Amino acid sequence: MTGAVRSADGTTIGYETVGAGQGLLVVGGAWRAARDYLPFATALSGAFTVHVVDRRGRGRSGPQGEDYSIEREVEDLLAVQEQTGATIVFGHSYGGLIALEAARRAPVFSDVAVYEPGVSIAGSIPLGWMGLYRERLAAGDPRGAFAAMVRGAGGAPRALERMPLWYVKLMLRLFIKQEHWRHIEPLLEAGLAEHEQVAALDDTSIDRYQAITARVILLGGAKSRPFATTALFDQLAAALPDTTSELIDGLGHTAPDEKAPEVVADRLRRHLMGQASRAKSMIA
Amino acid sequence: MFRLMARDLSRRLHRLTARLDRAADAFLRAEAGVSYRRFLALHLVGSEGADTQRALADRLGVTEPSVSRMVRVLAESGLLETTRAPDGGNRNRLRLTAAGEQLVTRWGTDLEERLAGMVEAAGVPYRAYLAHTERLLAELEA
Repeated sequence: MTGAVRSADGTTIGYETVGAGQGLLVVGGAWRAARDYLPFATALSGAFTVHVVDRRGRGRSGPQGEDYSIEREVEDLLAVQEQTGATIVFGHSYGGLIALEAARRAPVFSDVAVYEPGVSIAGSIPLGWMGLYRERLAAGDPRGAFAAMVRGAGGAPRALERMPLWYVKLMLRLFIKQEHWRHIEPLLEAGLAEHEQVAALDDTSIDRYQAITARVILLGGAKSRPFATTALFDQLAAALPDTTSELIDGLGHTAPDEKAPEVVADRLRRHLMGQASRAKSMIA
Repeated sequence: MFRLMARDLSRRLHRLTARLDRAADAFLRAEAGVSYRRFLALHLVGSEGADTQRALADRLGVTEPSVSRMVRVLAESGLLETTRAPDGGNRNRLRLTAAGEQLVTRWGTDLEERLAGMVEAAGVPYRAYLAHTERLLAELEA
């Protein structure tokens, strides 16, 4: 089932709904659309009504627009929240950053779950690839741009970081199936604008998140580097009033969308159910 | 110009296979947990009848001691097993385990699908290109 809402600046934001139960919003990362999270949403659909948001710039939603910033993303998410009444939000990567930014502005969520959110503390997220990415895009070399990101963003094997760009492009020819690339390519410009926001929000402190009243579930993969998981979770746990975190064995950054949607969904469900029973026992 | 291009086929083929080998090796190591060389050895045992160390060494174009090491590692990973030959001779028969067969089938198919997608995306007709390559190989190996 599909739905749509008009955001504060008039942009249409589309979303897809599956399942039955308490409302849960899913906000995906850069170079991804709602369709990429449908296996994850389906895995949660037995316990929740899951609304997977097509962030602006993809799927059924309108374009990013001239005035793009994290504020637009927050407005979009809150518009979908208002229409659906969902009080749980799950954000992956850049979507995790949006979820946290929304939660500190509006106390509408009871639970905020994030998988390796794009929160950069004092330059912790490697963004040095953006210059070459921008240059390759402008030169009409979209695969080169994407390869620059894969090589530099801290998610690839260390050996790949020292390889020439042609080599990384060649690897990606096999690693990314043609039909998947057709989905990624139209999102390359948007991915750049989104990471400009990651850079703009980079700060030496994350005290701004002290304003979050929701319970926050921090998830990550044990194969990812500490800047995306433990190092970040430690700082968030120190700043936020109520957090739980879990590092899942064998998973990396693209687990919720590609590698292991069922595993992440299972862990998330357990955390949410556990918190529900904890809340009940506190009332009792 | 045509002459230069025509004479360049050898080097172009070399570059093509060298790059495909590197990409396939990186892909299989990351996704299937084996190198391309070991994957090819498993394929030879499972689908091409290389059921002794000598036959496998011959097909891979390497020495028997080198294959012996490879077989040991693959056996330790549970992908390959060695059984005593039925005639009671000292030559062990090589056979894929269920896990080995599954690996070869799954990732062999996956790798081929990815390559086919790449070939088609480049505007090269897959079937015709495959037929030409087979004819060349048959000629070379005749």
